[in-house]
Amino acid sequence: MNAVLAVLGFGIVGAVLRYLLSTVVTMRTEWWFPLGIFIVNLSGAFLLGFVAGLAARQGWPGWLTTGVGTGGIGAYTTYSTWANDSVNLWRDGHRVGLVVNLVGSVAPGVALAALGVMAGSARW
Amino acid sequence: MAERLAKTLFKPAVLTAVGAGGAVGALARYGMEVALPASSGAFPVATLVVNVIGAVVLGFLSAIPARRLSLSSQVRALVGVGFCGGLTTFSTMSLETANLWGVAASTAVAYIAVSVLGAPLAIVLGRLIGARLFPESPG
Repeated sequence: MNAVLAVLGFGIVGAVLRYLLSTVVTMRTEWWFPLGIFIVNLSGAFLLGFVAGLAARQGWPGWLTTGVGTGGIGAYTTYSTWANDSVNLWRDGHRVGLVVNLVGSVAPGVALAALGVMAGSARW
Repeated sequence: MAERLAKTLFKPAVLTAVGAGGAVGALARYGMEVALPASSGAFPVATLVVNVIGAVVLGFLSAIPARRLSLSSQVRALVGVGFCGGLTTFSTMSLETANLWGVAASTAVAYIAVSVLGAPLAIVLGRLIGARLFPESPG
């Protein structure tokens, strides 16, 4: 039950943060490339790795790791909007932009997640 | 400029819809993770399933003409930005791939390849279904 409430609570926060940050970036840059979601997803990938590493090192209770990680950061990042944006890029003729949005998100995303785990696990 | 931006962003109805949809989506994804847990080295089925489902739903939603949805922006905020955004996850996909890399590299490659290829395909599938169910009337 703790985990369920934590997922719901942090989920609200993650989703709203995603909406605010991606909308601000989109409005300020007015670019055809979906930079807002790009930033959200890559920052979220690093953060999730960091939380995973930190939670393991500090011995977080399971419900908290689930709440922050699965709930908060899981709701913060998005696969669906990323996918929808990618199809729009294809439709609008931005073929290079499409490849950058797909491969250029995933490769750094995986690397950032791994870096995040290292950073979270480390003793500073 | 800042005030105009703030007024556009901080609409209580939209924020509520995004937050509520996102929370429910995240909970659904958590439920799937509990139902289909992936042990170390195993293919992360739960994440792939919710990601693809969420993309199909969002594709479907994006194909519905705006005028066909009453309270269109509210529905899109609740279901699209909120629920689909909360149900799906890029971060978990990334971390799972990173973790798999050292344990079962071929599984990691298969997982990320299917996820990346599946993303636009799921959207297109959703859009096809949406267009079929809500054809644009002529004129």
